[in-house]
Amino acid sequence: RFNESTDTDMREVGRKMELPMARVKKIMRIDDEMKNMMIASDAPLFLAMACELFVEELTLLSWQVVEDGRRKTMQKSDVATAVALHDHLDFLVDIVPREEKKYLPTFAQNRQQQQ
Amino acid sequence: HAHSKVLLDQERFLPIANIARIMKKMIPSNGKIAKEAKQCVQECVSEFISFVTSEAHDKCASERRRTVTADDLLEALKATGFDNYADTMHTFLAKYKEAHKTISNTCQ
Repeated sequence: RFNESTDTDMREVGRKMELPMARVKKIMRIDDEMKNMMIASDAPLFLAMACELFVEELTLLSWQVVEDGRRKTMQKSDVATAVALHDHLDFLVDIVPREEKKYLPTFAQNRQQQQ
Repeated sequence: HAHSKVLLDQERFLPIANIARIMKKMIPSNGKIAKEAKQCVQECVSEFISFVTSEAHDKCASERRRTVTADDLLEALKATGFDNYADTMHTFLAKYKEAHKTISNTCQ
C-alpha cells in the first residue's frame, strides 16, 4: 500500500491523516499503566494509520456477513458476528453486544456447511 | 451532565464522521451502514488502541524503557495477531523515517 509513496507523501502524511493523531494519543493515555510512560512523536501517527487499516478490515469482514445474509445495510449484529468468526478479533468480545451473540452458532454452522 | 458526557466521549473515541468515511470507502456504493454499527466500530477502534498500546507498554516495562515508540507498536501488532498489518505498517514506518531523515539532513 505504501510501496509507491514518495518522500513528499510521507512528509505530508501527518497533515493528511484520516484519523486525528491527538485523539489517538489521548486514548493511548486512558490506561493507568500509561500515565507514567512517555509516547514518542512517531507513535500516535503510526497507530492512527494502523487504526485506519483496522477499520478497513473490520468493515470488510462485517460486510461479508451482510452479503451472506443478502442484505444491503450493515447492522451492529453484523460487526458482532464478524468479531466472533475471527480469532484475532477475540479482544473485542467485551465490546460487541452480548445479546446478539445468540445468533452466532446458527450462522457459524451455516458457514461451515457451505465450506 | 449531558455536556460532561460529550467531553468524555471526545476523550475516549475517535470522531465518528472520520470512521464512517473509512467504512463507506470499503463497501459498495449502494450499501448502507446503520448508525449503531458505526458506533460499534468506533468503540472497537478505541479498544484496538488500548490493546496494542498495552502490549507495547508491557514490552517497554520489561526492558525498563519509559518511552513507547512506533517500533514498539509495530512489534505489538505482530505479538497481538495483527501480522497481516505488520508488513504494510513496516513499509509505512520505514518510508516515514526515511522522508524525515532527508528533511533533517537538508536542514543541516
